Amino acid sequence: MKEEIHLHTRREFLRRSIFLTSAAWTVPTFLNRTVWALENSGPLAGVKVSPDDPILVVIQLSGGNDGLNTLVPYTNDAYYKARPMLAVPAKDVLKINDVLGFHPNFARLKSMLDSGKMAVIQGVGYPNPNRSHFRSMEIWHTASDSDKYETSGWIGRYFDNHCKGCDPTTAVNIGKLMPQAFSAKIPFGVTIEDPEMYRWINTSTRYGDAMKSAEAVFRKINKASADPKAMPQMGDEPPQSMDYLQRTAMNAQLSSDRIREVVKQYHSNVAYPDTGIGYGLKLVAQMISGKLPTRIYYVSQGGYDTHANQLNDQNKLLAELSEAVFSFYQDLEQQRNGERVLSIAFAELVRRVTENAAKGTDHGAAGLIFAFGGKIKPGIHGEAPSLTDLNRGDLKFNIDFRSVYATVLENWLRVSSTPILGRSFPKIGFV
Amino acid sequence: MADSTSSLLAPYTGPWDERAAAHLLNRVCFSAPIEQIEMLMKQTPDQALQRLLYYEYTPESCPDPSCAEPSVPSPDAVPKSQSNEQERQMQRKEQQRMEKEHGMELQAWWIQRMVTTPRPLQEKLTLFWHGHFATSFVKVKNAYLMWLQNETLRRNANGNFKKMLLEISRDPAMIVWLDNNSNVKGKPNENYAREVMELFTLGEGHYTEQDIKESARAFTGWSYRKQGSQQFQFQPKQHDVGEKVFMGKKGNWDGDDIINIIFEQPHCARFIVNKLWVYFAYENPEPEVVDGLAQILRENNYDLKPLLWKLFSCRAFYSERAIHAQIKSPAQLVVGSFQILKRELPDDPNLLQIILNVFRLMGQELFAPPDVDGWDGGLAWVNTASLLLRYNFSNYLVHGIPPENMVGKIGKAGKPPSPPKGEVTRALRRSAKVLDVASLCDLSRLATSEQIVRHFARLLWNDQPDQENLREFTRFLDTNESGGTFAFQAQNPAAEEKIRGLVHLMMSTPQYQLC
Repeated sequence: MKEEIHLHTRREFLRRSIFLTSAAWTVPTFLNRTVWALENSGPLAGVKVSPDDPILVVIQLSGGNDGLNTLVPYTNDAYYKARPMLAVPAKDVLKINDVLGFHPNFARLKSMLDSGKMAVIQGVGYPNPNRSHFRSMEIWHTASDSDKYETSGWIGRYFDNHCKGCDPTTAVNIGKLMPQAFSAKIPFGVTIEDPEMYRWINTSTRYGDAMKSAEAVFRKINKASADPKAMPQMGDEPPQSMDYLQRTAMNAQLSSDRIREVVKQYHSNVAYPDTGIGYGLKLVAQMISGKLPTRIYYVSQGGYDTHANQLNDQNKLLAELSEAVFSFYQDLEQQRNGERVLSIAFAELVRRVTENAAKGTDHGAAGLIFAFGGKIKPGIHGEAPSLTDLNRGDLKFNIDFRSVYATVLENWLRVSSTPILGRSFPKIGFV
Repeated sequence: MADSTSSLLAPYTGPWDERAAAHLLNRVCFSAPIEQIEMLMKQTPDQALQRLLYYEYTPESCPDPSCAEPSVPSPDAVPKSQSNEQERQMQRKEQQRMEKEHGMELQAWWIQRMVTTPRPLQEKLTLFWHGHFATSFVKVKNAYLMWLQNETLRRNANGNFKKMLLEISRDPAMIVWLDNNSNVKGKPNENYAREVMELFTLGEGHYTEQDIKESARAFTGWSYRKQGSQQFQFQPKQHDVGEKVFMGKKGNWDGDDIINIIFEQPHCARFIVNKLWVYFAYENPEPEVVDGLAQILRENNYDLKPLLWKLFSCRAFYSERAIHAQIKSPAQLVVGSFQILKRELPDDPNLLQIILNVFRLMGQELFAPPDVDGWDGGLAWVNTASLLLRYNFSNYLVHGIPPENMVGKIGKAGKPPSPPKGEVTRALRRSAKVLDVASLCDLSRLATSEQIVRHFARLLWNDQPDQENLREFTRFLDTNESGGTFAFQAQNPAAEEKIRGLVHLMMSTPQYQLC
């Protein structure tokens, strides 16, 4: 017990002194590695994570983006026939090739596609598609077959298989709620929305600093369980509330000081749009620039469930996405991190070919995934599904979404995907 | 084995002690204050439950919010008086702004009602039904309609489940929320029909895509008046009178027929019983519990009281799986904290805004659930960010000073509130009201620091601290800043501040997140 306290203090000291001495926040890599190594030798012994490893950013387009109005088959009569009110006029489309073009609000992303930093994977879906919003979301998050029920998420199983004992900041979710994709046997990763609030605040100032000792007690009672060995073992059952809370309290403690410090150090002249997705990606850029050991960031942009009056809503969302991703990569390139960061944007649900009476689209079966980054193989991947050969009014998929996960896991995060996805899926050549 | 499982629903006959009474209060109400526990223990469990469940007999007077009248013109009606497009736009914007303000007022009104109501189960059930028939102001954009739905949920909260669904199917907010106003003959919109079965009554896997298509036709023409009373309106011309085949039954069904057929499915009772059990007791209930309770619900034609009586009085409800094992929802945490700490909801609009922000930041914005599936609840309430937020909300309740970022109007979706004007923060600091320690304990009667810690653990956790916590907390009370001994004396303002520190610490723990 004593030895651990000593070790802990020494790590703290080392870490703190690094924060203090690195004025420009350019920590020599070897020194930084030492900190993580030290950290990993203590209660968090396990896999080492280095701040130079490749990073994956997952962007969820919540509610289900309408792919046909995003990547528009502008020469296809069937498209205009199915969408008398909603179709994007051919003259407005940002043409990519003879048959496909982007929605006009994707101008920024079109420039990324042209400069080789964007890929589009089309016709992505899964067998026996489920049109229920929630079930389909669950399938995308857990990567299960549509007739099987899985509680853990695909990213959660990546943690369980490859990150046992890693620093909790190995995965960071921006937002209020943790996505199901993060669900793991052992609660893992951190969720953060506002770095300023990401600490224990004590405003008892009445009697000078008489309350400083409270902070020490707080750390002790919330870290009392910081030794995973002392934590109850978690099996296949969902964790008990108390175990889960203690684990989360520990993860919050371990990540709070570091994330706030990193965000404070960030400087950039890249302007981000004043939107939710702009805010989220900026925060991710801040953390990347601060060399956190994070391998996976998760950001969401909500509002895509356009059952009615789709035009205005989707126009706005696509513009917001386009602007935010563009700024994000500008920022990353200035940090020289553009090649280290792969982003994929997916919708957990897709929309039907034919518009409905409410100038909207209902839930459908096959859609698009976007990928961004300095190291990807740009352009359009996969075949466009036929607009006339439909399955119950839906496009037929030709790429299983788990092929995209497998590609990311194997070719980018460099781990075996079979234990995570349950079996092997063919990889797509976008990275 | 058969014996032990079949007895899960047998009446609880264990001790009617502080632990049991606190558990009942925590689940039926938003908190278990010591005075209430003591009052309950003087009654029999049946007497206690009788009063809590049959709350109609408890008088209540709660004034309506200002949005309880339809606004004229209704916010979604496009004004036709002005011909100028620009003026029309401006008027629409102004209406939306007003509507948003009404929406916030409505949120504050409900929170206040939860804190002060003499019928806590009524509000707790209304909150359950709000999460079940989850409808959001974000799309409905009409505070009056949201209030109307809230009243429908409250009126039926412990009444009859089927009657509730019949009324909800005619509820204007629901009609807007799930697009049934655009569900018309020839071009059916399946949104409402799908959710009726998937989320409201049966759950996935107990109906077919064909059932959705056919029942959507049955609900065609169920719309509402956009002007004037803004009430439900059946539009016969939009209604599809053709024959439909629903769950194997052929006929010219309308929406009511569809609901009648759904309620004949044995799974319907199991579905809602399971959800109620998770809300009030624990997750993953034993099949025996669900089947037994579902049978009660069906035998009583979907009347909820007999079911709820059994739920709150059976052995399983008082088992180790239930007690101190539920993660408090944000509503339970915030409303309960106001009650336990005997604090009043602030009048100051800036402070009230903080409470609304807290609900939103913790992930349970009232009248604005994330989607029609409602809130996930359970473990999903807590992650690193929301846990720290819960802790920091305690700081505000104890020390009276909100952290900067809880202040001010909240920003765009996904963004934290924009930093407040310094002036607002300074004013809040000046007017900060600290926790009144004397209202929570009589220091002259608590002789030792251990007694103080045990008293507050009972008050805040409804439990006793383990050895480690007891040691840390007593040491905190007994030590002054220079490491010497802190001498406790009643009426010493420093002692009161020490106790406020203790309360804040005890609320900043995993234990306080459970009930």
